[in-house]
Amino acid sequence: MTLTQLFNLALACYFAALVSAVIQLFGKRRFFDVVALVLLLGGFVAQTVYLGMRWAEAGRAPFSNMFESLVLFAWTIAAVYLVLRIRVRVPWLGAASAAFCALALAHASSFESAINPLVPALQSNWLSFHVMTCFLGYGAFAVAFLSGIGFLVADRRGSAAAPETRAALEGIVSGTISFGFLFLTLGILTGAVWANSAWGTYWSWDPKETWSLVTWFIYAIFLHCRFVRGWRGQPASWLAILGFLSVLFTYYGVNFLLSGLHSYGSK
Amino acid sequence: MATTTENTSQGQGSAGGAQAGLRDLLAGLASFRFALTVVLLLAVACIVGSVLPQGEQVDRYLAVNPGAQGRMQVLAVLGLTHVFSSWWFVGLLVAFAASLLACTARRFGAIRRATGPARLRVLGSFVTHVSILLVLLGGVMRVLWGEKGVLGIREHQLVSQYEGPKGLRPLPFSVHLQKFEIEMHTAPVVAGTIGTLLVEWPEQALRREFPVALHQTWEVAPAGEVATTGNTCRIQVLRYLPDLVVGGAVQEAVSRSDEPNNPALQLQVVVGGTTSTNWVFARFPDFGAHGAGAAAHPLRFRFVSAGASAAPRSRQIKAFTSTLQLVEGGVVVREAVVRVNAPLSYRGYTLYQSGYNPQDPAWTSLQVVRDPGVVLVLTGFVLMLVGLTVVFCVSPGMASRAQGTGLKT
Repeated sequence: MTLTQLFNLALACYFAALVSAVIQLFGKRRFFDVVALVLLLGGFVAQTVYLGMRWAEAGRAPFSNMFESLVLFAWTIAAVYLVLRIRVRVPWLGAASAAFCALALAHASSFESAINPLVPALQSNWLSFHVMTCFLGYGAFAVAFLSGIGFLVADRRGSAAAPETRAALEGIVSGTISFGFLFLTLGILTGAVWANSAWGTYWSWDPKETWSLVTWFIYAIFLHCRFVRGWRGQPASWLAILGFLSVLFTYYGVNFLLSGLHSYGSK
Repeated sequence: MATTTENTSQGQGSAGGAQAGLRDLLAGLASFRFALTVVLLLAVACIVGSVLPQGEQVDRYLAVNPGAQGRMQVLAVLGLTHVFSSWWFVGLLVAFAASLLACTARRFGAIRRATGPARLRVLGSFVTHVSILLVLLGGVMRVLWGEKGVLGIREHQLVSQYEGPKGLRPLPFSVHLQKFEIEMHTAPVVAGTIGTLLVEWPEQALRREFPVALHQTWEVAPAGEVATTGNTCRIQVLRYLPDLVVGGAVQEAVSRSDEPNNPALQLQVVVGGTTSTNWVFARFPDFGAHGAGAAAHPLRFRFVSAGASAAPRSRQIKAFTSTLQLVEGGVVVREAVVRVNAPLSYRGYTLYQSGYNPQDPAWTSLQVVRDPGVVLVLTGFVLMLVGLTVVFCVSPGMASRAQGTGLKT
């Protein structure tokens, strides 16, 4: 299979998983839940093979431009959801994760997909560690965001959602944010070590660095509110949503609105 | 005597009052509300600093928006054009450090009181807070005692000073540039589509047209037929040269310039298990059809170059390296190759490969950095990861094992 075919297969799988999960949500047929899970898993496998082949063809980790990072973003969201799915089953989350993956891949196809050589500063093994850890964090925060929205919908007055669903969503929000915070921290630190080896400075208040610190602060506040002050329910969900908006700006908004060391990421 | 007792009790009273005041101050600094306020203010300051033009950006901003002169002056007075070095931002960082220090002191007592997995969690949290303090301390050391500048040097030159923010600064050794090399990528980097490629396979009555990008691969099979080895071909774009000439000792195909004077594609074609490569020329389509390698497959190609609209970028740099000798007292004490991501450290100074001049290939610039706080910062990074791993992985794992259940939600 060619790279393009694998990309299209992953996109089709995620879209079909979304359709199946939505049918399950309204029709309450267990069969469609299984179909959605299999399709999401299929999309994830196709994407994994795609990333592996692109890595082999480029001779480097395929995480260096907007196209490649969007593909990685979709992959990490699917990975985090599938790992969670082993322990928790929340149909809404499957549909939302599939939608997010399909959207990220569809959007990626609007960017240049050619494999281009790297500038000298990016020719470092730290690139793989830094981007991979950041995006594992982003993937976890995306799932926390979707769970936060799910909780707010389930918790509204007159909702038919079972208390167990609300409790599950609440647990996913704090669990995925804890996981994401660990990986975001690892991503920021590996980026700092890399910057120190390339430019002799581990922190330069570049817009991307600054916004990643803002995001880190927001999730640090979440964790302290959750585990020190015992915040749960709606306030925690709103904070998870705010945190992910900051993630989106850090990842996406900064590339297009603010210039800096990471401006190659917008290409 | 009575006066002495009175004075002593007054002294004890004022000492007790001072102690109570200190306790209140520490409690205030360690409070959740204070920490939350400081972190929120820092986050807002960071957002302001990332959105408003900072430092040298102000001049560039004013060049584009000359009418914003007055606004920029007001922002400068408020310290909003140099947020990250302003007194109020430094004050916020000091408040942040004070809050962390007070929290850390409080957590130290909590470690002894806690038991089981909870104790591990408090310990992890303690280590994490200490690590942030170490990073901040390392940053302070860099600001107070660090040095940074640029050293411009030409091949075979010996230099023992560099240009710092306040003029020339001496180095405790001399730097000799033995050799400076710039390596370019072999193929010119092309933005977007290079052109279109028409593929014809007369025997299979197949005709397809593709937009061409570098390294792209297509698999082509007749429509409506099951793809087999016999009826499928695989085409990959290996190289694009906008101005192909054949030259050099080994008669190699190279691009004479970035102008599309003789655009050519090198293709790898796999048909029926046979692999061949051949060149296809936009200006000489018949030559491409009958060129070397074409006999090995039954395909015919036509390449239509996007020409100047393809806007080939200038050839991209792959690497630039300096072979350096460090000289002390007339003796070479160190010799190394410095490249981007591979600096050279000696006597507290680190030399980073920084820049080059395309018009002067024998000249390079090296960044000179002396950072006495970097060890503390890196130690802080390691401790932070250890602390967070204990808090989020080790402690919950132990807790769930202790309860005899998995993580259930």
